[in-house]
Amino acid sequence: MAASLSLPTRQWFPRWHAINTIRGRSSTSIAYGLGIYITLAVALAAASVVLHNTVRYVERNAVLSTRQPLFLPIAFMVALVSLYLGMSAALSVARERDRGTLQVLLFGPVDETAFLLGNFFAQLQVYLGVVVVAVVWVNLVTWLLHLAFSVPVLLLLLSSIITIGAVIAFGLLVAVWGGRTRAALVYFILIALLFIALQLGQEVVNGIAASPNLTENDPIFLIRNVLGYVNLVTQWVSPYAQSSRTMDDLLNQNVSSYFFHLAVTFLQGMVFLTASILILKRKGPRG
Amino acid sequence: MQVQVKQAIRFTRWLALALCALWLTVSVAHAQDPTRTQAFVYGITNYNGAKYASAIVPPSVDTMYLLAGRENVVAPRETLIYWWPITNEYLADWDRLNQVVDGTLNVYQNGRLFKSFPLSSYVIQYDVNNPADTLALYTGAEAQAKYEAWSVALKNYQDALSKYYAALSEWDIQIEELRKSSPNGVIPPEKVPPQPQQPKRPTLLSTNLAQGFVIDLPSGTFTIEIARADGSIQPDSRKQLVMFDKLRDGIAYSVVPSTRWNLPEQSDEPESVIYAEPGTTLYLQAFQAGQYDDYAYSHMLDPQNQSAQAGRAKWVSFDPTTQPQMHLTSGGVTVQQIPSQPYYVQQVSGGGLGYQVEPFDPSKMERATFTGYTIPLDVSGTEYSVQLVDANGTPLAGSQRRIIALNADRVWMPYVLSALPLALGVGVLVWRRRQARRVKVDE
Repeated sequence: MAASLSLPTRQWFPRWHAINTIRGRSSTSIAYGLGIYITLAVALAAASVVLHNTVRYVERNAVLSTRQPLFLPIAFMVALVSLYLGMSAALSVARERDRGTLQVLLFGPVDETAFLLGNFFAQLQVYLGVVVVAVVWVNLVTWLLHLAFSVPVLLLLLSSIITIGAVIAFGLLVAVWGGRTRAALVYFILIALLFIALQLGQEVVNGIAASPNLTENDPIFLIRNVLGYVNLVTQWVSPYAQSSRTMDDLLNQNVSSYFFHLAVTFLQGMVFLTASILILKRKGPRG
Repeated sequence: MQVQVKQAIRFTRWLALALCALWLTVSVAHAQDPTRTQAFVYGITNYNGAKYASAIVPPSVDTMYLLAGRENVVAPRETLIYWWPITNEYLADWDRLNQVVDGTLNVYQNGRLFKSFPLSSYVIQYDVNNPADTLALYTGAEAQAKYEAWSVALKNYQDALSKYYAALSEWDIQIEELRKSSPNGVIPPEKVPPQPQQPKRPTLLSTNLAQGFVIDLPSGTFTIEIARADGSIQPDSRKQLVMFDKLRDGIAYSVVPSTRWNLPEQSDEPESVIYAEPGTTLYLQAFQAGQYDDYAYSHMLDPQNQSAQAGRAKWVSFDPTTQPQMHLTSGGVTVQQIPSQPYYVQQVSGGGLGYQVEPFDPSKMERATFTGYTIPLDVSGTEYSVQLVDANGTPLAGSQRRIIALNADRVWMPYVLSALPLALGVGVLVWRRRQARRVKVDE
């Protein structure tokens, strides 16, 4: 299996050229569409709503003590953009296969690895642009609202590149595994939303369970424990779960754990990417 | 007449049935008294970071948690336990049975005997005026001596109090007699006998002299069990014992805005930033605090706890600090040194609800509501750093905070900025269209 991925060194140069060409064309295509701009605007608007809620708390209660008022807004922004880019990756691959252009490509100087890596880097390149816009937005908001400037916010945005990479790789995996475009899209949305819901659900339930007014036999504890066990398993496959942990590590300044969870996210991305290449090789361009 | 008699008999029967039903309900209510069963339990007296608290470890709990590097007491007891469904936990009926189990506590680590603790008498004492510095746990002969000294002091106080009340009663009689014998009932001041003085209540508090294993272990996971005098192991005494450390020390603040005394905001982490509305005056109350593993700490306080979650840290606030000053800096320069001051909180009377915080004036006010530091945030954009310093001027670790007056009136601006990507997208599309047109013209 490993042999099917490896190539003699001299063949890596044409492959790299193919990857670069696909990356350039795909990323330009995304940059020339309005989709990513609308998504980013919606994501930043959602982040603004979350931030507004924090500011409103200060207005109503006169005071608020918090470590990072921008963490949750950024988490919302990253989650929304990741859904778009993951979906975009899944669509671009599934569509090429549906139209038969993938078969044509594979007859030429492009192999499965180059095709998928080209698409992967194209989406990742777009996200790098998103990070630049997000950094500008974060700094402007910090300056305008007079929030405390914080390096962990920038670190969170940087570490989100690895998270988004894993989500894009997952989108590619779903596309090669899911078959037709519609099926791939449905699978990706369902699984990604499930991951996000599990993560958000646990956060919400933990918040409710922390209430001092609950009795020991409150059913919320059962729900929290069940969600905890489910998340214990899904955290190894869900980039969102790892992202949540890196956020906690940045808040708690837990450096070793931060790098550990980043490494796990990177591994997740590698596994998804490798699996998608192998599945595409096995299934062929017609699926 | 016969019909009336029959109706009366029928009514009596129904009444009897109803009474029977009522009696049955009463007997059912009696049956709800929880069943008590004799069991071996550990009664623990744990050091929680500032003082000692007690808890029960029933047979259903496999693991005990205690703070490492401090003396804690594990008391082996035979008692009656019962399930209390309201709080979903086992409780002990100490009044009916409270018997110490004699033996030696063996502590194992990695299967090897780590340490053995003999049963010892112990007592905990502290001065109510300064509990933090005077709290002490005495064991063995010292415990006996300390307890006896405390008992003697208490007995002396009680005797003195009895004498005082007797003298006071006698003094009242003397005053009454003097009043009767004086013209117009007015006693000349020089004839008034000196009033008896009430004895001072001892400020030292003590627990009763009790028996238990006083253990002081380093952090780690251990297994414990009790070896009885005959060499056998006490059933249900085998437990896991987790000794855990404090993660870090700090100073927690209770931040009180002048207008909302009843809604204080807690600032536990030194990394947290305190945001406030411009024009607000903040009052900061400082507390000694420690950060602990939430699961371990919660299970130390309540071994049957079900709500704590593993893998989280929590801050626990203890006694208020009495540091003399708070340094207020802006832009790296100390702008003010704020002394700790007592304040009095007064509820605004009338229709308008609210609170008013005023400096405490002993001549007008009964007692201070709190002691803290005042931070005025006059205009928006104000930013301060605060830190407590001790009497020598040394900054207290973990007491630093940033306080920022938020520009809350600009909250609409992030929404406007969210449209930036759209503007960028439209710009890219227009540029691309122009480029495409230029290519066509060139062709």
